Formats: sequence, C-alpha cells, structure tokens
Amino acid sequence: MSLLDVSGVTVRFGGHMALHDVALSVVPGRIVGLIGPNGAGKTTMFNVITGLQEPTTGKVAFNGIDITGFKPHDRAQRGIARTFQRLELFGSLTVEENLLVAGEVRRTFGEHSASAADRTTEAMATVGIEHPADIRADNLSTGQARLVELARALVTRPKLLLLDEPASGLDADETTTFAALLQRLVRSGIGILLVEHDVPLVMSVCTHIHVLDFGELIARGTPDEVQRDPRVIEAYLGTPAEAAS
Amino acid sequence: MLAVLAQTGAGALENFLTFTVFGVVLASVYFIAASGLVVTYTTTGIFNFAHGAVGMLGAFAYWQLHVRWELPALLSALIVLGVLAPLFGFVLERVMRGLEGVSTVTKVVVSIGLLFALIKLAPIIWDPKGSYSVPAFFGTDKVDIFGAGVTYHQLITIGVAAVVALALRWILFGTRAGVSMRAVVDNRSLAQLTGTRPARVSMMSWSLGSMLAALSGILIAERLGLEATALTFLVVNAYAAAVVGRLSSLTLTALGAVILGLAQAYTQGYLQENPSWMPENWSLLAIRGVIPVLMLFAALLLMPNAPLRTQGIQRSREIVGRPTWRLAAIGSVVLVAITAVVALVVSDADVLTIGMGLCFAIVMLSLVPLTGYGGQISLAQMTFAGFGAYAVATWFDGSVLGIVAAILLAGAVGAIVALPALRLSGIYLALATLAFAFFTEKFIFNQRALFPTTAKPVRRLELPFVDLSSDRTYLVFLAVMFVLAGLLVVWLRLSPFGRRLQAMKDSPAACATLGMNLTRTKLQVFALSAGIAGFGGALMAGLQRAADTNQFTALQNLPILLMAVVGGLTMVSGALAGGLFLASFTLVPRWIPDFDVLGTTSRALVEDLFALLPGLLGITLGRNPNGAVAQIGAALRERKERAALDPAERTSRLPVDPVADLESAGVDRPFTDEDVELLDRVLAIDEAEVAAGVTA
Ligand SMILES: Nc1ncnc2c1ncn2[C@@H]1O[C@H](COP(=O)(O)OP(=O)(O)O)[C@@H](O)[C@H]1O
Ligand SMILES: [Mg+2]
Repeated sequence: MSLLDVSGVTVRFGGHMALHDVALSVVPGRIVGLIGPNGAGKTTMFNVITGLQEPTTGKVAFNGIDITGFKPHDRAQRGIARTFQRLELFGSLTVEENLLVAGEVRRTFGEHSASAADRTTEAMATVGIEHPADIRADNLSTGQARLVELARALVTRPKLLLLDEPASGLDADETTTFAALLQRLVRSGIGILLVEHDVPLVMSVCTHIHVLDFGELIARGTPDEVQRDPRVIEAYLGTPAEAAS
Repeated sequence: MLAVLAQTGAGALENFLTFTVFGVVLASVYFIAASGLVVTYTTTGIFNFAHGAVGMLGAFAYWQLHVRWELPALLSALIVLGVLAPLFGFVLERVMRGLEGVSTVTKVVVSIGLLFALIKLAPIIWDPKGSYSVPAFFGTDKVDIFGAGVTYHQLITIGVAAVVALALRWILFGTRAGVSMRAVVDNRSLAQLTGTRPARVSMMSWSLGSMLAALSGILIAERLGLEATALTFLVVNAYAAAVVGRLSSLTLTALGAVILGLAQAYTQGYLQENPSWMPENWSLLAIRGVIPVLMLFAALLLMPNAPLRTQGIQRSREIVGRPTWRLAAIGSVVLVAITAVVALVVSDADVLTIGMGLCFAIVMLSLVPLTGYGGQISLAQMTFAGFGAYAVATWFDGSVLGIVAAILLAGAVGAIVALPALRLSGIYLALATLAFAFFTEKFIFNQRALFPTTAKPVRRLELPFVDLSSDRTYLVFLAVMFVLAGLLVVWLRLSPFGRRLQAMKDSPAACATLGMNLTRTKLQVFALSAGIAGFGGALMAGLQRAADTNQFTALQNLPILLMAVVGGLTMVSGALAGGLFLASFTLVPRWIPDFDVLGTTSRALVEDLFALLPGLLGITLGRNPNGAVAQIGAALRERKERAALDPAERTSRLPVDPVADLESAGVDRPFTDEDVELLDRVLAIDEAEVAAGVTA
C-alpha cells in the first residue's frame, strides 16, 4: 500500500492556477522525485501535503487515512516531516536547540522510546553535522542550514519525508555524500518525496519521477521513461539555448 | 447622549426614525474612519493604532482655524484636509518607513507610541480647562424627513460618507496605484511585495489615511465636543467596522459601519433603564458604551483561520539574549540590596512611587515570555492586573491565598480572552486584547457589585515572620517578589517551553510541520502571562491598600507596553528598567526645583515633557527594537562575540533583508521591473483595464 496518495489536487490563487488536477503517490522505502521549472507548483504541492495550503479541490491520504482537512501539526504527528526551500530554521536558537525543539514536541500517537536529546545526537550524526552545535542558526551558510533542517525533520522520526530543493547550496562532493545519505534513509523504511533542480541527482536516486509544468502533471514514470518523454524534454529539460538563459 | 431624543411625548415611529438617522450618521463617521484604516493597512501592512488620534488632532486643528481664528468653516476644513492632514501623513510615512524588517510587535508599539504621544500632546497645546465646542455646519437648522428632525450637519455627514465611498472606489478601480492596492488586498504575502515598490504609493496611502481620519474627527466633533481621549477612542470604535471588512474589503467595512452605527444608536435610544432582571448592583446600561467593542470581538470570532506562511529564516533585528543563572543570581542580590538602601533614605512619597515602579515592572515582566519570547502581543496586561487587584480586595483578607487567587483569576481571564483570537495573526490578538481592556473598564470594573466605590480597600498581605505594614518594608518585599517572578521567567527561557516559544516566534510554519500545536502553546503562554500580571496587580493593590479601578483603565495598558518595550522585552532586566522608567516620570518632576520659565513653572514644563515621553520613546523603537538594556549589553558583548568568529563567518550568508515572498511569484532573485510585470500577471491585473481607467 502506498504511504501517501494525492489525488485530483487543484490549487488556485485568485486567477492563477498553481496546481491543476495533480495526482501522485509515495511508497515506503523509495525516493520519489518531483521536478519541474521554477513556478511549476512543486512547493505548493508540499504545502498542500503538509497542510500549510488548503487545496481548492482534491484529496490527500496518508497511510490510507484521508487527511485533507487535518491541521498541519496533526499531519506531522502522524509522521509527515518536511524541509523548506527557503529555509525555516529557528534563527534565534542554536543548531542544537533547533533539533531539541523538534524532539520535545509531545507525540499524540505514543511517545518515542528515545529521549529528545538522544534523537538529536543521532540525527546530527546521521546527516553529519560536524560544526559546533551551539552556533546560532541564522549564522549558518545555506548548505549547512539545509542539513540542519533535514536533521530537524529526522528528529521527529517521520514515516514520510518531503525535501524541497535540499541539494541547492551544496558543492559536488557534498552532493555525492548527500545522495548516499538519502539512500541510507530510505533503506530504514521511510518514504521520501524529493523536489530538486539537480537533474543528475534526481535521476540517480529516484525510482519514480513526477514532472510538473505550469501546475500540470505532464509525465510520470521511471527515470528512463521520464527522460525520454517528449513533453518533458520540451517543457523542462529544454533545448540547450533555453537552459542557458 | 441620546436621552434627550427619547422624549416621552414623541410617537414611537418618530423615535425610531430619529434613532435610525442618528445610527446612519454614526455609521457614516465610522465608515470614513475605518476606510482610512483599511487603505493604509492594505498598502503598507501597518495597522495604525494612532488613526483615532490623528482624527482627534484634525478636529482640534479645525477648531483652532474656525473657532479661534474665525476662518470660514469650509476654508478651515479645506486647510485641515488638504494641507495639514496630508503633511501629517508624510510625517507618519517617514516614521513608519523605518519599520521594515521589524516584528509585528514593534510595528504595533510604534503606532501605539504615536497614539499615546498625541493624546498627551493635545491637552498641552489646548488647555483642557478651556471650553471647546465645534459649531455644526449651518447651525441647528433641521429638515423634516418623515417626521424626524435631521440637522444639515447630519445630512452633510451622510453625504460626505457617500462621496468618500465613491471616491475610494474610483481610486482603487481607476488608477494604477489603486488597482495594485486592490489586487493585493486578499493576499498578505503578495501585499508585502508592494513594500518594495517606490515609496509613492506608501506616501499616498498615509496621506489618504490621515485625511480620512481628520475628516471623521471634524464631522463627529460637533456632537462629541473636543476632548482628546474621548475623540480618539470614538474613532477607535471604527476598528470594529474595519475588522468586519477583514482590514481589506471596503464594501464589508461599509456594512460593518452600518451595523455598528445602528446597533449603537438603537441601544442608546431604547435602553434607557436598567432592566429589572439584572442582579442587584449590576447595571446593563454600561453596555451602551461597549457595543463597538462587543462587535469587534464578534467579528474576530468569525474571522477565518490565518494561513501559516513560510518566510525564510528571518534575521530579525530583535535579539533575544540567553540569560545565565549566574547573572540572574547577581542581579537578584544587587536589586534587593539597592532597594533596601533606597527604602531607608528616600521620602515617604518616593517610597510609594518607587514601589509602584516595581509593581509596574512585574506587570511588564509578564510581557517577557508572552511578547519577548513568544512574539504575541497583548494590550490588556494592566487590565489583567486589575483582576488580580480585585481578587486580593475580595477574597482571603490579607492571606497568601489572596495572592494565589489573584494569579489564578487573572490567568483564567487571560485564557478566556485569548482563545478566540489565538488562531489569528498578531495584529488581531492586539485588537482583541485592547477591545477586552475597554470592555472591562466600561462594563466590568464599574459594576457596583464588584467595586462598590472606584477604590476598593485591600488588607495588606500578612506573613508569619515579617511585618509588612510599614511601606519601607513592603518596598523591599516588592523587590524580592520581582526577583522571584524574574527567576521564574529566566527558568522558563531555559526550559523546553521557553525554546518552544522562541521557535514559535521565529517560524510558526516550521513549528506546525514539526507537530507543535500552536494554539495550545499560545494559550499556555497567554494564561501564564496574565497570571504574572495579576500577581503584579495584587501586589500593587497591597502597596496602596486599595484596588483602584482608575489604575486599570484601557489607556493604562499603553504606557505599560510602551515602556516595557523601551526597557527591552526580551529580558527580565528590561522589564525592571521599564517599570522604573515609568515611575521616574512621577519621581523626577517632584525633585525639580520650581521656578518660572516663560510664564509657566519649570515643574509644569517637565511634567508635560514626561507625559509625552513614553509615546515619543515608543515611536523611536523602529530604530532600536531591542530596548535600552539590551542596547547597552550588546555594545559590550558584540566585541567579544564577533572576535571569536572567523572573519569570513562574520556576515550572515542567509537572506538578511525582509525578503518578500518573491518565490510565490515564481521569482528567486531580487525584485526587478520585469518581476513587477510578472506579479501583475499573477495577480491578474489587467494593464488595459488600468490604462482605460475602467470603473467597473
Ligand atoms: N501564496 C501564494 N499566493 C499567490 N500565488 C502563489 C502563492 N504561492 C505560490 N503562488 C504561485 O504558484 C505558482 C507555483 O509556485 P511554487 O509552488 O512555489 O513553484 P515551485 O516550487 O515549483 O517553484 C507560482 O507561479 C506562484 O505564482
Ligand atoms: Mg519551490
């Protein structure tokens, strides 16, 4: 059974259609990609899944339960965690406090066996944060901040992880390490939905990819299928001239 | 004020018509005032709490020109509306422009500071002992409409409101600036984008807002007379209409104004005697004065939930320091020691004033977790303190249980008040608490059943080993109480709850997606904060041996918030500084030697200055939102902290400026002209429509 099932989601901002009748699903233990040019509606989809944006129409089901009307915090309690494209760290707290806050949130559906402090240490080790944990979050570089956001999401021990452009701001080496990290994470059984502009990264780690353009789902399938899809080539991967502009 | 109209001989229908006309006139004034609020809020994102004060100033200026200098009425009105009000708008714009990148709290405080300064300024310019009356346009002549006498002034008021409605419609639908104002109306994150547009739109909207405020002030002054506070708060009633319009829709604002005006006129007209079903010593009549406030509350209840917006890491200009136990311990000992010495040397009167300062400090301390850590605003802390004072005056007669009752009562009241507004964003919580403060002042604290006289006697706390009956001992006791409350707040900041509050202030969206129930967290901190305020109120009542309702009026909340922010809301020491500042405004003029300066006495001069000071200091906060104590501390700390960082690390690489939600327009870079175009497209602004000036 799939972990996340989004069906028929439409989001309208005034006269503008940010998403139109989009469906996607994520299964446990797999990385699913969601790609598309800027403004295609990827972040909006994340907001719909996490409850920050109410869809005009459509349904979001998690673990078979319809969560469309649920509050963001309720969804998180059920095991959905995310990172933000534009970074939503708690700037006035230290790195460690950022993670502790996440760990200390009381769970509605059974407390974790490990303490907040233990989960914090573990998450820092998992993503490999080596810089001092007592530095204020608004002093981090973008790349470091993205890792801290990922660690903060992991502290809640999610079943589904939504990553919004997590590799932007990472250099080539860091990206390779990051790909390995994602593989390790899904092996533990969680499902990941990945939004990312780094196409080689997406193609290498995802088992399944959805392509959005102007709010429309124009293709879905394995990396091979998607790469060969003429609409995708036209709309997103583009001609070299377009890519350069 | 309408009692005259309900003459016994008059027929029921005439009465009804008279009340209705009066209601429509009120509605007209409310609409004019509220539309000004809406225009500035939608274009600048700043809710101008001083809007009413601007209206008051406009009315006084009109009086000066027309009555004192005997200029013709129309000319006077034109000078006020066409010259003075727009000029004042420019000044406002200059003040508010500095507010980019500061929190909602600071924005609220700056406009509250302005409100407070203007209220205090008016009586300095126009001696309140003088008599001021503003003649109606065309005197008292009446026309007869279906048997109801309607003055020309009333007709003009209604007509002016209609013209304003049409003119605003034209501006918003027929001009370029207006169309973009209108387009952003429903979307705050996109409205922020206009903040990066040329300042002209912002200038225009502040001038327009000031003109509308002044216009409403001039029109209502005929009925209300010129009294700074009354006039200011009459326009404040218009908040209710603006909130019905969700601070954005002029049509709904008009509807709100009509409901408000009529409701007020009918209750004033028909509720002439206290109904017999009211319990003894309770009066329903006071409800006539709080209709707008009740409506504001109802409108807030009906507001839809505020969506959680992502905003990126904000490198806020407000910094919350991390207290350490060592510093807290040293501070505690020093405070108690100094107070003990002070208690021995100063005069009797000064002991009381300094004691008041410590009580204020405790009330301000209640804002540290709420506002300093959690980013929530309350304009009712002194009102909660009043509930605390009521509790000690009423129950347990001098026992410690009285203090406990004070904390619990105030906390419970706080929770009840906050509940409806918590799901809304900051500005609405500020409004709800202000509304509650008014309601309490006018409908709760003046009930004979609760306060038989304005000041209810209080038996001072009796403790087993110390005798607090001497004021000097009580002063030291207050210092100890401040220390205890302060240590509680420090502990809170270092606890998981404190972290949670900080996180909520930094990014509500991230908190929610991590599973935090924001409403519950806000409710907890609100109740806690109200409880601390109630504690302060109880101690204040003990100091004076009376719970004096005059100290817990709605207006008293303003200097508390202002001076707390001036001291620094993020630190216990800031609250202490704020409380002592506030007390010093009484203290210092007392110490000034009295001599003549240009016809007035030096003491009167200093008193005037000090009356203005809280407001003026509040206005300057846009420049330094961290408060005085933090400013001094930061100067010392900065050198140490920055020296420890690698030079390359010294500047943040994260977005520092208050980036508007460019991403939401599909833009990932700084905002350019093409982006304005894109924005227009996203917002569905039709260039052709703008060019043609269609008034569809
Ligand atoms: N809060 C909002 N209000 C209005 N329009 C929005 C809002 N958020 C996003 N949009 C629009 O939705 C479109 C999709 O945005 P987004 O989901 O951020 O794209 P992506 O993440 O794929 O770059 C954008 O073109 C933007 O104009
Ligand atoms: Mg995006």
